[in-house]
Amino acid sequence: MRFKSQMRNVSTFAKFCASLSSLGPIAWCRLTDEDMRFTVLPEKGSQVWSVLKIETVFETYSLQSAAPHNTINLEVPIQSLQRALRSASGATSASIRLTKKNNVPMLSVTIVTTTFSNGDSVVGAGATGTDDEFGDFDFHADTDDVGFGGGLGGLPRERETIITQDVPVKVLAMQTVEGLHEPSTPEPDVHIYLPGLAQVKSISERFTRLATATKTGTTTGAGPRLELSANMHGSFKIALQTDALSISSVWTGLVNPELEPTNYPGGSQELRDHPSTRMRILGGEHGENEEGWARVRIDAKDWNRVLSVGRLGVRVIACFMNETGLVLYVYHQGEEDNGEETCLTYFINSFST
Amino acid sequence: MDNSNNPIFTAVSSSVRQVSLLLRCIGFSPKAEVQITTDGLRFSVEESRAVQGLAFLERSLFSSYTFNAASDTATSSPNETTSSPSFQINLIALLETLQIFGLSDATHSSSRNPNGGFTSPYAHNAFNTPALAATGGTCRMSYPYLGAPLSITISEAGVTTTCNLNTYESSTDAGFDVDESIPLQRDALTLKIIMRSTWLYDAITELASTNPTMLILTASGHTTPLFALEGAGGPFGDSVVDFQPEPSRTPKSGLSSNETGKDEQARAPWVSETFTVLPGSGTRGTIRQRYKFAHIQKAARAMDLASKVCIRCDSQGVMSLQFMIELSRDGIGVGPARDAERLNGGGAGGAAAARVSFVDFRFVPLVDEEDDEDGSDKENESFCVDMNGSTASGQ
Repeated sequence: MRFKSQMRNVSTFAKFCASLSSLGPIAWCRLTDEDMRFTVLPEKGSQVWSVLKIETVFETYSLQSAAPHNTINLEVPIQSLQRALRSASGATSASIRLTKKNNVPMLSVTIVTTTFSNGDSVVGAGATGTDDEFGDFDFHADTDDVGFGGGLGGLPRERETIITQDVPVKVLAMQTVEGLHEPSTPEPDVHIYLPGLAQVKSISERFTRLATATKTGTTTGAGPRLELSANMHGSFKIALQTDALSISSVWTGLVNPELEPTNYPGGSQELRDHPSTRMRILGGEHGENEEGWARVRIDAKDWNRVLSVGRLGVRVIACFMNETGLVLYVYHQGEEDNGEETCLTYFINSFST
Repeated sequence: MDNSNNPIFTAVSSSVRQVSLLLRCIGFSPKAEVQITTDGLRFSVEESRAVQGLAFLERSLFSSYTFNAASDTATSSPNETTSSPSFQINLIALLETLQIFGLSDATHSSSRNPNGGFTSPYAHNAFNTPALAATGGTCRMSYPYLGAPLSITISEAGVTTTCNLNTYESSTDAGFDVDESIPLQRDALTLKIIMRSTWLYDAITELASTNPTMLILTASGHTTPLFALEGAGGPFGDSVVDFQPEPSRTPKSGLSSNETGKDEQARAPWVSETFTVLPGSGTRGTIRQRYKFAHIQKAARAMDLASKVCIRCDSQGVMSLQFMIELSRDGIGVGPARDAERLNGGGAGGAAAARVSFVDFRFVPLVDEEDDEDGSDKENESFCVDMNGSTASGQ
């Protein structure tokens, strides 16, 4: 069993892990030849199934195991991995590999950073050597000090630091993970592109605070719940109801993505019978009818944790199953994207009233 | 219900932040009493009948303001301006709503400058922050009929937030009147000081470091300390902030422009613009009152925000702090003389100019238990003796 890889987009990977770690401490990671999958299945709250395209974060990728597609299943403490990756920000190179130390399997992150020491340090004593060159280059008044370092190969002033971070993991047997499947969901009643997650998050958090601030002592132990709803006419709503107030924020002018008929065995005929088509008609000509809204009630804190994925800089499609649940498809678009996208799928259950 | 076509009150404000900042000055208690009048909205907050905060949102703060007092609703109003019966709302909820677009916490702690003074209140006037222009959403308030929720709608950048705050019948049957809640006898004032609010804010902040339980205010027209604030009852000892008189290069001239010049010895602390002490008989020219420190601290946000404060005490020891908060964004300065005049006018100025708003606080004094039945004169006397003993430390 072997895994070794050179990372090229460490900050994205770190943010990705940070988004996952907000949901739960342990992630199930499946490495295969094609992709890298992370799944967080918390005891309570939303679960996330994500696919990370190899080229999104890895430069080189070598994987070897006895299982088909060289599959390796790991149990990763996701927060530790995220912290390890965080120290790699600004590194010249970073690699990750699966090792074993004292019989404990580890994900070992090796980070090479280059630090420029200033003239005050001991290493800066080498600067006496550069003094002569300083004279030589004196004519180029616009060349700054750093430019000299680069021009000279930077040897006297540069130091290389190698950091190794070991994250203990657990290797999972094939049969342990066999029973795990993505939840199957009914076809959505409403699907819609969400507005910027940062804005949604700030409003959701404000609502959560409102709920706690205005809560009277007699309410049950359950946390505050938000009602999310959307229709097929480009509107998305977050609402909160407490004893003291009712508040709602409505976004309008959002886009409901068109469904691709080729994705359905019944083709365009099946699309005509699709729940979302029905909801669009129920919503009336301009979405003025209340029947056109699909609603879910979710735990506010859980929702805020999910929204932390916004730091990835993403596009989000929300699929509402009326009164049943909400699925969020979160797409991360890299800079050089060729349609291959990293996708995180969040499954959020709705509470009944 | 029948008035739904003709709502009691609607208003639109294009600057949510000004409203929000004023209301946050009195945001020390969740329940606020609201009264709608033809001149504006009056928000009042009180705690255990001992401290009261009042903010008045003038109609000039709103770009449109409509108030239709039904004839039957105006009966309880004691003033000539018509008003609706007051109701209670959850102030915390209202404040959170007004900040929905991350009109972020204006954490402006006044910083000292090295010369021992304080940052000018004009320098950190929160309303001048350039970032504001971008965040000032439109806010629409309405109160359609008696008993209806107070509805607030904020629109910005494609998002519309609607908040319906449930209204509660106010606890008092009679129409809300600030002078009845904590009465300040305007005809029996013993003390009146107008000064920059930052001086007071800094003094209170300074005193708070010893965690005192009460604030002792001492004022005298003749002897030092002219004006001193003492934090007493803290676990680590007491501390005094003494506002010194102006160093007298020209003796006895002082701030002679003030009306204190009844006798030639009258002096005023350097910081004050107006300083009047009119102690009652038998008090030996000194006023000494005690207040619960925690109560005074509730006005801290207003102190920080305001440019000027008017401190008044009446013969019973009730203290009023009236804060003048400048809302101007257009940079037109308000002359100090005019401010003083306005503050002299007292009252929650219904006729004040658009760029100035007032927030009022009233405090009930602490009374010594043993002196309680002896009447105020005796009480003051005992204070006075007490004070003479400790004067030396004040200097």
